[in-house]
Amino acid sequence: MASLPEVGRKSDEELMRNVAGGDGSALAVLYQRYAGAVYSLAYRVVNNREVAEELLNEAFLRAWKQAPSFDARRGKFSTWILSVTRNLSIDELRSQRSRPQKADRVGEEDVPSDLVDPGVPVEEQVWLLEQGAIIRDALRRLPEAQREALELAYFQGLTQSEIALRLGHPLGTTKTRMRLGLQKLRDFLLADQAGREIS
Amino acid sequence: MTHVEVKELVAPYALGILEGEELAAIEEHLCSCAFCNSLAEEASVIADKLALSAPPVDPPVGGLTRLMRDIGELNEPVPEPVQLAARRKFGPSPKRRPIARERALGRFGWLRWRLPVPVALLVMFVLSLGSWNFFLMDHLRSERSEVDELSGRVAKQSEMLFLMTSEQTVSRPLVSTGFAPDAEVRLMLDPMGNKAMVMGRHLPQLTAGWIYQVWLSRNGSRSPVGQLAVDKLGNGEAPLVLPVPLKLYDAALITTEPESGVPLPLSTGVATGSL
Repeated sequence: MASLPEVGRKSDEELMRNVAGGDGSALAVLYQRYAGAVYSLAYRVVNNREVAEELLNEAFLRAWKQAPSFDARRGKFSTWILSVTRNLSIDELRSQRSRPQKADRVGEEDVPSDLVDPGVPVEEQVWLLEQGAIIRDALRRLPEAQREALELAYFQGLTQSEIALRLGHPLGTTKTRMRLGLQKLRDFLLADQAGREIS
Repeated sequence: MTHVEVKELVAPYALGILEGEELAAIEEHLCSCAFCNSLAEEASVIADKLALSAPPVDPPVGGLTRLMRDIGELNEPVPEPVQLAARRKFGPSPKRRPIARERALGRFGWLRWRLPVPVALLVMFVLSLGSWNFFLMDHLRSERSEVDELSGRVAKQSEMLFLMTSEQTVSRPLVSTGFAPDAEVRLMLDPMGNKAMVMGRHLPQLTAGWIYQVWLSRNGSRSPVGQLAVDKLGNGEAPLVLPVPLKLYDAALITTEPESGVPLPLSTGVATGSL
């Protein structure tokens, strides 16, 4: 296995090729890059640290097992693993709905813990945090009804009918808000990107 | 489905919450409409970014160690067959020496009581070794059986992986019924190689003794072609055994049936679709 500093300079796609070849150190680097984002997403959906930890582990085990069939031409690794995490989390949430679970208190912020490994490449982590801030800002700028519809769909996996029922709105209204919300989000993000390019 | 209808459904499609007939209809449209496909891709890119909007939370300490341990367990080699310990050979029992009885008793009388004890222990040890040998032989048979099963599973997974990555493979989504409204089931078909597999996600767990049975039909007659087992998340995939060429089939059905198998479907179905 290559040493961590050596593999740390490789792209995600190169690392996944190494993972496909059975290189655990490559998976370790990917973990260090994206565990934060994956765990944050899982926790956002299930609101339970223990369950989020299980989902974090499962997401990277999937990366290990499916590395041979991972195709970088179909999308970035970061998009893929977050998509896997979201699907796993939504499935867990749906199964929990049939059996009540004890959740963490809503809104409680975690005290930052020690880094898992010192000297880990932080460029990806910083980039993810920046992107997260941009997207949260864009979401805040949406009308509340549109933001609510998007968040219920993405973070709870509710269908449009279920969202309409939850919010007490007609189905057509929910469909429109979801469509307009995604369009506005796209416009905000494009405008933000254009503004950064100019500056 | 018209372009206007697709435009209305692109948002829920990109967010992954579309299901049933709407999902099947939009996927069918996107296969042949480059414009709508680009709309859907653009919407998916935006929807995927929502993942990053989750408030940052530090992952637990020790998570990487646990992951490395788990992948280590996944990669554990099949243990080598246990080497049977060589039997120790024991010589014949020591013969009595031809000496006067009185002298033997006098000089070696103490052996009369103590000798049987080690001999008995020796006999017990030999019998124990024999029992241990039988146990190891049985264990070896069991290990070989597991190796054979593992080899079979690896071969099956290699075949499915080839099917999933082959350029000539076509995908056919099945429509879920009310039994499993959240399920996503898809057939992967290789008409040239006459191979097929089924992939399922979000299928409900079944009680013990029941499985998902896959049927293919032609001219109204249904044939069982495979069984699908799912993990605790409701996901699974399985190769299908096709008794006749794939092109002769026109529809697919998945039902819940007893594990022992049935000649014809007994339940109404979990997912269905045309080929």
